[in-house]
Amino acid sequence: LIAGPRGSGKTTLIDIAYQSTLSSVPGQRPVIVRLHGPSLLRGRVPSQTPGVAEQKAIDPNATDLMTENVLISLVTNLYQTVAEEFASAYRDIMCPRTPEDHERAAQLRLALDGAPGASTLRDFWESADAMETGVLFHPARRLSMNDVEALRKRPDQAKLEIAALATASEAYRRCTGKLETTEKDENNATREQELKTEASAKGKEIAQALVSVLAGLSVGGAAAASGTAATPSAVAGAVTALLGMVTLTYTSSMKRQSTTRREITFLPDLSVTVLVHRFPLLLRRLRQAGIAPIFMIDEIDKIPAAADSLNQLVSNLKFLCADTSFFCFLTDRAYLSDVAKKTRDTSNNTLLTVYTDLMFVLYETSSFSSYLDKVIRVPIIPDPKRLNELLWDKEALRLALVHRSRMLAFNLMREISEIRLQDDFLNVRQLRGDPLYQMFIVMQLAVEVVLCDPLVSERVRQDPDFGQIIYDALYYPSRIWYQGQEEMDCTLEGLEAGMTSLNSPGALVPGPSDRTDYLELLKPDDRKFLYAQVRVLLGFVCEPIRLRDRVIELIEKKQLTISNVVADVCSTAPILLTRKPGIENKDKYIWRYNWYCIPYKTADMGEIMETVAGADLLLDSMVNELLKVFPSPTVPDIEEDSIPAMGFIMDFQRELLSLKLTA
Amino acid sequence: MAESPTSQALPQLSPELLEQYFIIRPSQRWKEIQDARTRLQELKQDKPYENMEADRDRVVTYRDVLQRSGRTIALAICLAAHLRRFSAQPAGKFSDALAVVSSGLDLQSLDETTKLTELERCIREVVTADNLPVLEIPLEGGAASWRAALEQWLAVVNKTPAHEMREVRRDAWTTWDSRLLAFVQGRADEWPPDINYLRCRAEGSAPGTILPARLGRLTLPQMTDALTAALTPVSTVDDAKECPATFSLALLLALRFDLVSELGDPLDTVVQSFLQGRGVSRTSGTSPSIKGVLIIRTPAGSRTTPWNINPSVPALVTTLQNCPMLFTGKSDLGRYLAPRLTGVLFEVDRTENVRDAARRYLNEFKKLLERFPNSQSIRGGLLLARPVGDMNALPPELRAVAVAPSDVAEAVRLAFGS
Repeated sequence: LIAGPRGSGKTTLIDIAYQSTLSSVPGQRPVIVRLHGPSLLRGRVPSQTPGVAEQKAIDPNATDLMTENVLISLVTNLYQTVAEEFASAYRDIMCPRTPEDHERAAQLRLALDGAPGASTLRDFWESADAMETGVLFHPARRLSMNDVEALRKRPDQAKLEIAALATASEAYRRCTGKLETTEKDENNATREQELKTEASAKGKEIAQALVSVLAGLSVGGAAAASGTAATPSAVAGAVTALLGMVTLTYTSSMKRQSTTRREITFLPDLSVTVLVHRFPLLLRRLRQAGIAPIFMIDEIDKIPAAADSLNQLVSNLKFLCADTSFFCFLTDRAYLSDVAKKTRDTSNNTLLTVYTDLMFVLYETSSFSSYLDKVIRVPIIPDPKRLNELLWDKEALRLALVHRSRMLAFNLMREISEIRLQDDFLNVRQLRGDPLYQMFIVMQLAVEVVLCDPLVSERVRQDPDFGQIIYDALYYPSRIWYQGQEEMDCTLEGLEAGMTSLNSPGALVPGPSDRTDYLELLKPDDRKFLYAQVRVLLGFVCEPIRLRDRVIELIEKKQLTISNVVADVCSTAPILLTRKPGIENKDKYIWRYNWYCIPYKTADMGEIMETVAGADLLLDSMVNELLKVFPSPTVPDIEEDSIPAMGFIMDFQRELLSLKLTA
Repeated sequence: MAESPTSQALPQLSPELLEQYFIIRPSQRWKEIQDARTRLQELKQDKPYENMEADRDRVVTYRDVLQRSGRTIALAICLAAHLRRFSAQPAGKFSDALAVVSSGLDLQSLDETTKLTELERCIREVVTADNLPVLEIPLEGGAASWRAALEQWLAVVNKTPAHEMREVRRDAWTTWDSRLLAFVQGRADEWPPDINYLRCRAEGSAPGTILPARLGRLTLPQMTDALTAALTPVSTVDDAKECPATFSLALLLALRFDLVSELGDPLDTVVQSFLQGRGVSRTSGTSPSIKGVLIIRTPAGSRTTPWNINPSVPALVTTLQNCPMLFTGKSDLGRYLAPRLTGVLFEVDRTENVRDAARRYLNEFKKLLERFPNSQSIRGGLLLARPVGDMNALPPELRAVAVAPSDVAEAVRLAFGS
């Protein structure tokens, strides 16, 4: 079970894993069978025959119906993937040859659409000279030494391939064929024997017969002369004569015909039972031929109320998922949390044996930063000053892009593509001086400062699931900002409601959710922890100078790796966020600029001058008054206390001196 | 009129100085506000510019910050005026005192409300007063009335009688005992920095400098350093540097060791009186049956630097240089620590060859074992940044290895399996 937020790259993760294992198992070719979760669990499998659907619709057992749908979908997609794999392999072999061979390759591709039988496949294999090696591991394709070695142990590779593909083809036909289709398998075994003789007795023929007898006798005499016993010789001669006579004089006829006729009418049985048994066989044959299917069931998080259906499904198909195939279920965090909770709560949960690995895709800011560090390169230029400027710009751009992506991988890619020019240079100017970029730099620095807190980083490290919620919380203000909401409620209740609203499955997919509320599983302390971190973050955004100080402190402690110059952006960035005035508005904030750096409230010059003049009055007054503050006691104050004390001491000294010590 | 030499020595209070000591915390620095004000002057020549709104926001926000912080600024000045009397600096006493207010109360970490509350609390300790004066800056009419009120209050503060420093230090140490015991019981917030702590900090004496008074974020190495410092004999009779034995006892409890037995003199003689009436027992820190660890960390760049005290793992994290103070200082803790330690871990610098370090540390380990009577059960090990390829290359005595642990509990678990 691979979980992660939308756009986090779960599919890419599998693709990368697939690529890296492609040649690592000798004699096996992994293929990814992609399945659309919503179609699998909720929709009907596209069927060529209305009758099939009708039959299913009246099926009273909903679970069986869903399981059947799933099996049909598995078989259909598996066949199409496998057929494509064979067609590609075939093309690889045929393309370097004659134009006729090219055409043959195209023919196979089309033929596979019609789910051909074994004889047709054999014909294609023969024309590719692949009846020994098969097509998957044909020498014309690039093979590793390990593949070659593995294939030595499979001399019947071609037969295995044809058998596997034919089995898949047959299963595919079952799933997509018409219900009325019958298969007739007629077996006629006819054996006919005819023995035809004629007999006639005409005078001339009798005379000829006599001559034959004599000839027979002469054969007998010769046999006797050669030392053979006299009687048998004579008999042999007579038999010869008689045979000659029969042949020549006797015609008779005898005919015997034996016919066995068996006709089987096969009505495809699409019930669960049959497919359930057929599917493992198909998988086994594919494996024998060197095809290792990886089933990837995607987009499960887009199904409202998916958890129960999925649990029911995987429980029913456990023997497929866990025993004979490699299944990847791609889902969102909520389902993972549900599974984790169920497996914690119930020691003997079926899901434990189905989902042998629970994985969660969590991107940290450092992951995005590392990626950007790799893909954005600064050209080597001789002017060190200019080079430094570019390096600082790169850091600033990295911060701005990470924040604009709101920690979603596909957002990051889109942001990069928006500034990427045709010659691969990036279209950014005045990065550190542009208020638009400055705002994002401030926001991202605030996030990274919070993440540097050992308490926060430790929680992210130890509990990636909660770590994702921390990230959600830290990027919650930005999402509100992005939505164009001028005011933001970050009280504990407001934050929880807002985060739940933004992150619950219902936020994007309408319909009831079976999953627990987004934050429901969190302990009260964890909720307060999130609230506290968001408060810290917003405090920094409201006070960018304090943020700069903190960033520089973290740079000195080597907990943040950016330049002081980039930290200084905080000093000149526009004040993006302010606290809403009034005690009753604690934890409520107002954005001063929207996502595109346009102020929510514009002002004219006159208003600005008037406002500034009012502020100047107090600033000037305060500066002057501060200069006049004299924190030390005044001279009279000192004298008031010290003169009597000094007088007392002097008097005491005088008395001491005048003291007469007598023995 | 020419200024007198005295007035020249006094600091000129300014928004910059207030920013420097986190007494005010505006979103933009004063210098940037000055620049913005200069740019805004352009408007008078009817010359609009792109960032004029942003500049207006900066100026207005700064004005708001100053206006809202009138009371905070006044109280900080009053407190600094009081503390300057304790400053050991030959010059710049007021600036030094402002720095003590800032660092002693950890103003940087406090929000505005807490900051004001803390300053009020400290001032009330200086001047017994039921009601502090009105020190807010009015919205209209400038800050003259504010300064007048401040100077009246400053006169009151400056009139307070002189203090005998021995008494100040004694009281500060007493508070430290209570603060550390409250920390052991999870109530560290009940004992924030007090006025005697600040006075000692201004003086530069041990009660004001040995540890930050806010214990919430105190780390294991910091606490251990305080213990070794407290056990270090003072060469001459220097009351300002001297730490009482009770402070060491409180630190041991805070480090989650027990005080049941084997403390030796002089700790053993004071333990009873120390605990009496404080609501804590000899095992308040931890159970005597739980064994701890001694970690010899690297002097710089140590992985242990951010490690917090783990209530279930008694631990000492010190440097090789400071470690002898545990045995040759005011008290020999060898006999005390021997039955309380599972083992000793030596941290290897990430840049150093592990085998070379192990050879070096083997000698140190053997020397350490001599400090512990009946030390057969104490195991040795290494704290490494990354796994070592061939464990057999390490001396058998140091093969308990903890690789990149994130805290002390993990270090013990990885190295000693418990």
